[in-house]
Amino acid sequence: MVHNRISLFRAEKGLSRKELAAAVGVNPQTIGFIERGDYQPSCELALKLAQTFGVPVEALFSLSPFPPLSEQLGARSQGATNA
Amino acid sequence: MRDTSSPAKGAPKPTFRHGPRTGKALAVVALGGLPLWFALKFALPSESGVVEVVSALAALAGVVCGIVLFVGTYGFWANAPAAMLDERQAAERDQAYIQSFRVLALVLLAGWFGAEITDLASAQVLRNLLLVLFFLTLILPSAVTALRDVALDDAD
Repeated sequence: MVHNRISLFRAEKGLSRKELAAAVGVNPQTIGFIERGDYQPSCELALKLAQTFGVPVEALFSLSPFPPLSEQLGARSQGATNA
Repeated sequence: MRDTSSPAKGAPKPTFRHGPRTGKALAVVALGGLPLWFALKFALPSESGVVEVVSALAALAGVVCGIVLFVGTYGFWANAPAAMLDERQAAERDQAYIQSFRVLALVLLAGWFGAEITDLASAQVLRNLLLVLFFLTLILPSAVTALRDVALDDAD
């Protein structure tokens, strides 16, 4: 299974599903299906999504579940404190 | 290189647009109408005026809903060239055709089996069955596409 955090990036960019769908050239429902994990996009669409958000494709998709945002932020601030 | 993830720009639109709920309702009536007409004609006495009226209404409702479904969103989805669909829609359409093929094969097998083991399959019954099969062949991919579609909340 491929996990993704498109909804997180979409919220951060302030994009609606319709706007993101228009940016990558798919139906808005398709974005919803991908976000819910009900549809696995092709390599081409995954790359387009990553390009739209300006991040590498691994930042959007992963074979293992993404850690919760709070955990990531906690780890980052812990690292900054240690440094 | 051909873009396989996006629909073609400026693609034609379906004549009628309907949502998943309407599509499902149309599909159920379209798929039920003519088979019900066939079953009533086959199983019940044709001299009965009530049966004739009910079977005619079932056939009419099935055909009308089938036509609306066929020229609407799901008929468009099921019959449009791949270039007009995005990759998920194309994949869904492929699945709908596979399921339609299986259903039609089963109906054909059931029809053949019924004709083989009973003496009731007159030429008229077989003509009616062929009409139902023709109609099913036309609308089944659209109906399966409608039945498989899931309504997502578009709110962000």
